[in-house]
Amino acid sequence: MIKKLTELNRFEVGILKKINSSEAMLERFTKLGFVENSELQVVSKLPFKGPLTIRIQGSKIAIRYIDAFCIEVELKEDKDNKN
Amino acid sequence: MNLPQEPNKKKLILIGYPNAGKTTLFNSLCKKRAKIVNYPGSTVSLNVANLDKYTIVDSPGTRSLNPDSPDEEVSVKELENADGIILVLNGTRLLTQLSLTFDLLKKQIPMTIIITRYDQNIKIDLAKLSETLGLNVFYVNAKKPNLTIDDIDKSIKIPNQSLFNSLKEFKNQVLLSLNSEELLDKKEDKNNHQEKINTPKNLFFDLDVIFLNPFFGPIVFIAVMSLFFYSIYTLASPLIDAVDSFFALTGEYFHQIFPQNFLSSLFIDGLWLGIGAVLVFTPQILILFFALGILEQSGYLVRAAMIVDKPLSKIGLNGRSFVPLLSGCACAIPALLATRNITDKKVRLVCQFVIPLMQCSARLPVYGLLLGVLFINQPWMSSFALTLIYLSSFFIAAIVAGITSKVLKINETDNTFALEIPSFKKPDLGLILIQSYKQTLHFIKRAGPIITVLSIFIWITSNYPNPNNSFAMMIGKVLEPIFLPMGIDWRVGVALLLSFIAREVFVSVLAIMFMITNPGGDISNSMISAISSATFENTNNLIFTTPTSIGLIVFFMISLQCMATLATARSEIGNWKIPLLQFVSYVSLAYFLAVLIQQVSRLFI
Repeated sequence: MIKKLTELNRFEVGILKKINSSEAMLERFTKLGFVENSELQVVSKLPFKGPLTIRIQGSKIAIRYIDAFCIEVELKEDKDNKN
Repeated sequence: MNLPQEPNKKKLILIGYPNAGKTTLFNSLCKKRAKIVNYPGSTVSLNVANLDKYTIVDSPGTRSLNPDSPDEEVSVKELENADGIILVLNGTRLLTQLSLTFDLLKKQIPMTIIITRYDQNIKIDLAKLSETLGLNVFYVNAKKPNLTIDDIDKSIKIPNQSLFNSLKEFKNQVLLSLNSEELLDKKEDKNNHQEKINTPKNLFFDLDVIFLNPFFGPIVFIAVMSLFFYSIYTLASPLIDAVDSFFALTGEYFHQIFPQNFLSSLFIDGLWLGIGAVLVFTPQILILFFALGILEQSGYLVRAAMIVDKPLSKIGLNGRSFVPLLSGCACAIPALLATRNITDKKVRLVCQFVIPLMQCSARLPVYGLLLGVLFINQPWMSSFALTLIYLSSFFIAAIVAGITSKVLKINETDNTFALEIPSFKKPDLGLILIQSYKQTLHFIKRAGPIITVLSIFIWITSNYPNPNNSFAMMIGKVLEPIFLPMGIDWRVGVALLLSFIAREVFVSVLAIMFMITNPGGDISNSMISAISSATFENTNNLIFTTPTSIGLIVFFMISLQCMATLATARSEIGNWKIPLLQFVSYVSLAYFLAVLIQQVSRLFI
């Protein structure tokens, strides 16, 4: 099941499927390790739609709610279920 | 400042993403001659090897040439004066490292590329990649390198700038030569060098569960910030008293042992008093630098930046502005330089505009004196009031930032925030102590000569031609109409004027002027008692009444009085218009408020 990154709960693991953002933001995402098919985990979500902390490619990255909204993720458990 | 360089040796620097294998490679190649060197001016340490023909530097991991952290700043600075770059790429994550590669190519510094951690399933055609990039590319096992440093040196070439016009073009070309489908299709990757996400049981050892917790995070933040400001003001207080007494007692002692003449008076009542007035506050400055150093080195500041990002974005700033603003509480000059890390131009400008409103350490002597006068036997009230001063200044800064960002019309695309959160590091207390000591020394060295010269100047102009009719008095009396509405006389007015050269000087000048014009005064009294009992000439009306002291505090909170800050703002912003606007608006607002407080208070008396 495809969900937006902001819809993941804390500690849920997902696989990055698609990023729907501007060219400039996409560039920044790539630099930080947000690449298709990488595994990621939500570590923290700050209140009032504050930044999220994501564990991806061995690092912890902070991104804003608006930007996380552009990222589509497939929940990991779902993928295993399909198999 | 950079690492000292040995002129006859070639300086090669290893650059790459964190975890690319730079340090492993460095150790394999030259561990025997390696030593750890502290980078001058920061708490970052580097591995450096001094070989016969080369100096090899292992730089901290870097994601881009726009530094996000002190570590990255050091990497970027070091590569500027390197003779050759060894770019180390993590073979399992080539895609994310392409823009760093592109940025380095544009720098036109001779370089070579080494790929580590290659995955057998991802075949990279080295020859084709080499041809595309116009550089030599090697596979190297970082633990057992099949190349010597001489080999690496020989492979270094100057990149061809005209090969790629844009990052997009660069990426496309590289992906073509990499056979991109294999790289992206992780389903085929059985060995899977992609790191698996740790399962929740590891999280108990992860402090971010608390620091970035939606509920506890902000609470911890407020607690840490309160502790930060509390330690600066309350811990320093006994030290301040000690230094104050020292200068008062030694002043008295000198008067007793030296004959009364011009030279001894110049020295004791001018120089010693003037310098002492400012040195009294150095313990506070030392503690401030130390506390900031701990917060930065431990990695906590990045978490703090995340927590304040949402509120800051409402006033046109972002999380990246947090560190410059906090540094502004030490000194505006490094704070302005720190704004270079803010990638969004308009946000950077708002931050630069607002930094002078951060209460810098030069104001501490002034507040120490004025609060001491206001709360003469209640030190805890002074601490509380100082906290209030800081909080109010943040509030004022927020309003000004909000107005500025509306004027600049900042919208979503102008204001972005995304950064890596480094893992927590145990701060090296010894190193931070040395750094803070150096920074405090720098503070004294910068202010010292100015204070010395001005102390002598003030002593001379206040005593000649005659203490009852001096130069200072003549100039002061002429300007007195400006100062009277604020509730101060010409003597405080002269101190205020001179404080535009350096804020700390306000205290020195006051000390000298009031000691001189109270010749019968008891020298063993500290400065604070002398000033709190000062009266308008030929009257019994106190000068430093509560409204006057508050007015002066507000004046110093808002007014831009540091010429060095103006000069730095000019060079960082790029023109004179904005620093001039800052100067005029802040000084006018400060004066207006000080006068308002004084006049309104008179209505109620």
